[in-house]
Amino acid sequence: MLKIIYRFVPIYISICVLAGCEINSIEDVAIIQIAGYDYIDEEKFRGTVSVPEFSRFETGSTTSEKYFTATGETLKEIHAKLQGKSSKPLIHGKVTVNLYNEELAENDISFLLDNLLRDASIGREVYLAVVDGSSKNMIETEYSESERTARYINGIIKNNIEENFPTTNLHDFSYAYNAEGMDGFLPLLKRYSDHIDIQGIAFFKKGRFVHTVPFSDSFVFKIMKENMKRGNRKIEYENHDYIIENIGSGVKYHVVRKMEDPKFRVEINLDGILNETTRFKLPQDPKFLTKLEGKLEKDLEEDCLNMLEEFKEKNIDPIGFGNVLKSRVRGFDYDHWKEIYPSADIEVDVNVEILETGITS
Amino acid sequence: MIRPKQSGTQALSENVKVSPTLVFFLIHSMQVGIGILGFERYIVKDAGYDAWVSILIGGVIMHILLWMIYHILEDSDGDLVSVHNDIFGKFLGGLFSIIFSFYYLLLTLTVIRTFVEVVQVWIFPRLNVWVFTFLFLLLAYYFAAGGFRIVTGMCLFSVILGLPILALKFYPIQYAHLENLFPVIDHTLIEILAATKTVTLSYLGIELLLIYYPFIKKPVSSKKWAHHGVFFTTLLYLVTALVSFIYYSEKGIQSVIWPTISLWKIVELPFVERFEYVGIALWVYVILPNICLALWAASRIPRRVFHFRQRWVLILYFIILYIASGLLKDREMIDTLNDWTGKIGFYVLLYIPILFIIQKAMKKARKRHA
Amino acid sequence: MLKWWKNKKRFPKDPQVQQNDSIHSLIETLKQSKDFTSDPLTGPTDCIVSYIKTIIEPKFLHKSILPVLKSQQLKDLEEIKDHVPVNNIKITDDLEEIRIRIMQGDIMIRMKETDDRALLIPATTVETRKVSIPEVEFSVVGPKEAFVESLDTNINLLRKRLTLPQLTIREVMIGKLTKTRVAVISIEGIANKENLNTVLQRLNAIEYDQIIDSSFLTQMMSDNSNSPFPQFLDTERPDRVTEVLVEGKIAIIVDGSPHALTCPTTIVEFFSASDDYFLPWHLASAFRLIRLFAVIFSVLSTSLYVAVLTHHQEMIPEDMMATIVSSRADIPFPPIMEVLVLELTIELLREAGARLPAKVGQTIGIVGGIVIGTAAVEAGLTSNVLLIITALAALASFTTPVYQIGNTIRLIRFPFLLSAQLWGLVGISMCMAFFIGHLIRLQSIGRPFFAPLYPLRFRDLKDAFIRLPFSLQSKRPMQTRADDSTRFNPNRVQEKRDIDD
Repeated sequence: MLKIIYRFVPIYISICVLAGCEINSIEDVAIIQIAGYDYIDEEKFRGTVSVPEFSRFETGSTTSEKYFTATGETLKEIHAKLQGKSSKPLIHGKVTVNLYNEELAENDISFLLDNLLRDASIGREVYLAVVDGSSKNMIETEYSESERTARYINGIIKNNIEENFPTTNLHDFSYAYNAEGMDGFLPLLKRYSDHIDIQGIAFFKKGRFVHTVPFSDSFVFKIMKENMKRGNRKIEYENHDYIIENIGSGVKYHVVRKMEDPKFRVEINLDGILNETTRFKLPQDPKFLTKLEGKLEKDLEEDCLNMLEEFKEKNIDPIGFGNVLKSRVRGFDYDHWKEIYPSADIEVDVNVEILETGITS
Repeated sequence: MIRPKQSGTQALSENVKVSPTLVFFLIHSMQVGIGILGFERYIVKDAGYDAWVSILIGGVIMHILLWMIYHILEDSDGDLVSVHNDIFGKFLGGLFSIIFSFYYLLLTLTVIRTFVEVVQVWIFPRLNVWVFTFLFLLLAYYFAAGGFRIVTGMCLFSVILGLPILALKFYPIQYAHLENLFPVIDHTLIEILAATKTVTLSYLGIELLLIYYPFIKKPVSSKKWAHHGVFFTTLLYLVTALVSFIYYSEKGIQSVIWPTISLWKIVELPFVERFEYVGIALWVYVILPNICLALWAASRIPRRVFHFRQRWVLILYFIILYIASGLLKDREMIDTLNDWTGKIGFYVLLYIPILFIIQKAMKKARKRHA
Repeated sequence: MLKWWKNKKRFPKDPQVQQNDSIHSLIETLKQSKDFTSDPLTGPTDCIVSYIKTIIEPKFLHKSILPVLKSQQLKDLEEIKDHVPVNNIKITDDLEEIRIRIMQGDIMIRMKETDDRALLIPATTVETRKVSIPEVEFSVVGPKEAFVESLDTNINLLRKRLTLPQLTIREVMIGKLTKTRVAVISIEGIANKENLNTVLQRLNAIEYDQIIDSSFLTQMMSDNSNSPFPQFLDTERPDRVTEVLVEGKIAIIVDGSPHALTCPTTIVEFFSASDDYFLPWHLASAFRLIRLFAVIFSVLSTSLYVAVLTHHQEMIPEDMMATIVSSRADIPFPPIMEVLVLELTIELLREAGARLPAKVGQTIGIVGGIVIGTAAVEAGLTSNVLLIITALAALASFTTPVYQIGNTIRLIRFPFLLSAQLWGLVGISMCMAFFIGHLIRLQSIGRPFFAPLYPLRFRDLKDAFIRLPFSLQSKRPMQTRADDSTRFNPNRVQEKRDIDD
């Protein structure tokens, strides 16, 4: 047996050498880190990618980036054109952010999503975002001396997801896209001359961008959508502002009435710390905190209901009430649900508890 | 060269036998193979997210079949070939045994070709299938030619090396949508049974016991371990399915061809990302025992029936496998192959109770005559 | 069968070298050497004293033999035998024995030139090194004696550690020309008979003209001599040999070699150092695990580097990307060539260092490590990331307590590298699977080499990757199949005492 193996060793080595010829090792490829797509007209769109350039003598973090832009009717066409402009083969595997401009998002991004999901080399923690303006400009601006654009945008989204912004990435968006009774959302970014801001949340009806809420309301959406650990919210109470730092909130969905005339109750339990006020000392009133809690509860409930009302108007369901109903009801009928959703009755019940007030009274 | 005797047990020396504990690994590693990477999708088609019930039912069925196999083998104190010879006589029995040999060969072909496809799709789209399968089969040949002890050793290491992959299930749980599993049992019994039929195909592998039974020291005490093996497989399938169910939406999972591999994409460690590459690489160890054991069993049957030299049969099968897996080209053909193997496997499983009943009946009849 | 017969025909025995058919011709052969003396004594006793000058003790000849012969007249060999105050004197006419004993340093006395009968008085003196500190398997604590080149000294080192009548030493002579003495040592009643027979059988079957060192035997007696893995453990520490003898293993010592071989051995034994038994069990276990990790790292790290950089770029996390890519930029070689060049450089350094005297060797280390390393990076021939990895891998390969397995580890890196280049991680997996299969197939004198792992033996796992306290190791390892497998009665040791008793 061993003899046979030994006999094949030369063949084996020659295969190695032959195979070695067509392989591109890491420095011979252009790694796309960010890709953006802009709407041109009904048929055409424009793709922009940025590729980091690493050079040997600037050790560590290199900032130089190269940008390629091409227009076309299909993604394949754009990729082919981009390839034509690059000196090294373009690799999609490490893409971390995908940007779509507002017009394109309004016109359905399903086909771009499909491409991301189909490519075996692309991960699932890719951030998708909608851009107010041109995504080409956003990519091609240099924001920081020490940080590449891709990392910068990636960092903005990642950082905010840990705070007030609801969790979103390619997996979450495609989950919502595929699920029955759930719609996805993405961050809405805007470029200013030297920085990028999260403008708000862009809500989708399947692949189509239909609604947006401002960033200041993302806290409200986040406590309704998921359990969160960090975040903060301002309350106005008796002419003073108080900042409550959320140290943990949990959300539960209750189905009060079932299929025919559904009614939901959203229960939110929020623990917070009073962290900043615009006055010097807290009032001596022993019931002050209870009152403050009550005010915050009322504010939040109101905001939540307003937001849900807007969702119903636009006929989108980013919270996933349909999905909730489906898991509580036997024989869930999706088509029927779609019809009755705008008239569904939803109640929000917020319980706030302020645990601490810092180290001064 | 010593000619193997017709009756299984006496001819085997103590050196080639394995201890009963290892039957756990033999059974388990043969059951888990390429199927576990994508079976969720097929069972969801039948029974939605209630398919986990089907997995449990399938597990129970496997326990029953295993019990039957042990009964069949204990009564004859040999292997499948001697059982067939007992029941159907030398000619017909031999024919049936050879059919089993081909079935095992088909199993090997399915596993190797599907794995190569996974490698092609996920890592190397331009993989040279001829070279890859050749070296892979050579590896399998090296094990199978080493005899049953070596194949068993590979089974043991396959289970041990496969365990770290299980730990990766923790990552998708962070994205869990537990509500996906509710409401519990929202499908009709027929749908669940249909999914059970699909899922039994993933459980294929216990029928190899029919061949390697004489190689077990103290076979009676191995029973316990075999059942543990089946139980562990059931558990593994259940966990795998549940994790996939809570990670993907019901519509979403049906559009993913290999849910388990796609799920590894989410794993991220500080020094390494994208675990699917590591996962597929480690999968080599999971499917190697599949190939080796099936190949060994396939080549053992002709030796028992015709007294051929097993080495020559092995080489012949090697060539057949090599050519066949090279000729299978695209996803569609491989899917058909999987389909067919599944169907034939189902009938093989169906054949076990029949064999069981015939043997029991004959035994009774003989007793009455005696 | 046929092959053996053919061989016999092709290589007939060489009678010229092998045999002298009479004592006379033997002496004729010996006389060609300057240091052979054959003097007829003409004193009161008429006899011929022959010996090889360089191998006998002249003092002994002059003080114990010649005075006896010169002071009185002795008529025949028996009388001489009675008068010479030395033990182990033999009178024989067996030519073969005479030949061997003369060559080993006996003094031969014959009455007449034509006699066939001869008296043989042992008077050997052998130049040996003093017992010194172990150099290959140095340990900080514990005994500091190492074997030397003399078989008798080595057995002495063992005997003084194991004062046991059951310690049996069987001697075999091997080597057509060298007639090397080989001692097979075991403890009767503990060591498995079958193992002992296998060893003796294999030793007797060896057909070769010279046995210079014990490593010759390692290669000739191996179950699979094509394997890169050594199937006998070689050690220069008498304490280690004593330890394994007590476990029921068998030791082989070759005259002229400062290394003893022990068998049956397993792969895990190569990663256990004698230090492990001198430290408390938790520390010893931790160090063993570190060593094991080092070995895995040493084998896999460079091939993983090749696999990831050539095939799986997506696996590199964003944060490491810049470091790796910028270190790779502008390097003309693909990763595989880069790695091969660096690995070979390190092998070169090691080879050069091993052949040079210790003081120069250090210089080579510095030259190689610092000058070549930094220069290669500065010149843009290799990346500094790889330099770190390769250096660490080389360092890790030196952590193995047994020198031989270190060589194996360094060698098996290369197939891994090639397979990594071919099919990335899948290739590495396949290569690893091959080696696992190879290890499963391997045997050490008929016992499985991969033992506590396969076949799975929980009892032996207690002293494999970790070392549990002595109190838990109440049985000898299953691997040796010891005739008496109990070390001590655990019940007596583990009798529980109550508080404050």
